[in-house]
Amino acid sequence: MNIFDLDEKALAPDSPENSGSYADLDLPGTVGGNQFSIEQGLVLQTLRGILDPELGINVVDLGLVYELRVTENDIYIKMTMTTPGCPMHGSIIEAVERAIELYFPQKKTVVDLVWEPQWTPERLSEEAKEMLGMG
Amino acid sequence: MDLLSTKMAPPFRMVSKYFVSATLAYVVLCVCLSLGWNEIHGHFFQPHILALTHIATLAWITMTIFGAMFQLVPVVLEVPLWSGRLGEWQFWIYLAGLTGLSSGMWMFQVGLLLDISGALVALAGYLFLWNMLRTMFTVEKWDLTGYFLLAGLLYFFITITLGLTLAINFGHPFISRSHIDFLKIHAHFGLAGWVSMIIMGVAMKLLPMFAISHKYSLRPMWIAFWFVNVGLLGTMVEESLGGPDILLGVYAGLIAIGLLAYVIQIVLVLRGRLRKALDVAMKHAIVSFVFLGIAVILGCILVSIPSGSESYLRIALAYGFVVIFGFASSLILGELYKIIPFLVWLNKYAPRAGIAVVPTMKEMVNDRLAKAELVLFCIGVIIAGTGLIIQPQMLFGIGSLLLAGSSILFGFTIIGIYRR
Repeated sequence: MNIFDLDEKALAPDSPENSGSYADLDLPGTVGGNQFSIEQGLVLQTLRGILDPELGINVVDLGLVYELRVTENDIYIKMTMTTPGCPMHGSIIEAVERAIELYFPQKKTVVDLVWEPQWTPERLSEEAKEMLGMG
Repeated sequence: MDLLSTKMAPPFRMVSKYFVSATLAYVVLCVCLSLGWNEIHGHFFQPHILALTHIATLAWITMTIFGAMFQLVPVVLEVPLWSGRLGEWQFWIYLAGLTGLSSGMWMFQVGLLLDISGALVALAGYLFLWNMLRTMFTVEKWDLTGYFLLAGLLYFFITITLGLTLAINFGHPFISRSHIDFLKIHAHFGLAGWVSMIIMGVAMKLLPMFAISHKYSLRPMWIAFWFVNVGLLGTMVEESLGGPDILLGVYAGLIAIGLLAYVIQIVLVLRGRLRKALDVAMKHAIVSFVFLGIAVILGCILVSIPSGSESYLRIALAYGFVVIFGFASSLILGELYKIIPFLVWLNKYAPRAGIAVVPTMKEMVNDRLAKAELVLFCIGVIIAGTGLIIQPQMLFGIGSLLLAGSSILFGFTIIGIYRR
């Protein structure tokens, strides 16, 4: 399974000449070999730097990112938390916004926090499972 | 999201005042116990035991609950705190009140000192209730934790009102019935109502989050909610109207079943957890539930033996000790290992998260100190509790000394978190 479980449309490349492969960027759990733009890959790489401060696992490996769209002027991220009402949700969302705005200052960033569909453990990457002692 | 939790967080300094004072009170309490170990026997209604009980319940436990509710209610229920400034005022009024109340009880100086300090504690309590109810009034999504918190607030109102009545009655007796009866209701509503409802509700929110637990039934939690509440309200009616003793036993049984249902709920949560490793906070929580089971057994023994007998008094003391230390303090210590790093992280590191390397909350806690604290705590409570039940008193002395050691380690751990 693809750890991001992003639908193919969400990961569709912006333009064929600007496309790369998730695997090329050496991101974790690159199963499925979705084709997507270099920019999308860079955004995902940036998101890997955002850790859940309680669990110490990044938001990508936790499977919190539901959707990622990168256009010429905008970056749209739809994400969730492992538990509804998580007290850390505000800080994590703000950290995501801050990081994306720092690395992609020319684009407008929108981070959408959703609780539906609810996060499930199946979304965890193998690395995350190992860190949680589920391996 | 319009309102992010970081924007709804209450003032850091205001909340910290509650946690730092509570931690200090816990250390003072444990050190006092270890110094005065030889006085903790006989009837519970004696000055030093009353004073220490109030340092435990008001300065340590309730102070922590105030801080935790100010911190967590806005972020968990997604509403801003109604007034941070009122929380600040409440702190100073409360601190003055409980200092006067504890010293008044210690010296058994009834009259004006107890009247004024009791009134200040009650005033601070009412201000807290007002602040919380105004905050919770705007909640849109109610869940089970919300109901536990609401019930806890109701019992808090009854507890402080009864407490004030008792404090005034010391100096100017006006209650026609035995004040011991009122004291029992006051103690039960304080511990089984206010303290238990709040810390159980909060734990039920935090534990699944920290352990990443999903897909468990909430039925035992609902059973716990109804059984404990019906039992407590029944006890109050029964004690007030003076009905047959058998009914009191039935209500005590309902509370016992409710508390055991809660323990079952926690077992369900922990069994389904994804995060397999248990950290010190989780272990503290598990220890507290074991002691809750022991407290329930002691409570059942207590209602089945004649009150006033020598064994009744010994078990009553042990029961109070296990509830306050084994259950409430252990659960609170565990929750503080999570809540204080969260508070400090939110204030210090959240603004830099995403653009700088910031520590995780686990890295903020000195794990070795915390583990040593947990071990000393467990051994201390077991030895001290055993000492209270079977005597000799020296056992209680050894246990309380270990407890004092563990409280100092806890104090250092908290200082370490703030200094990160």
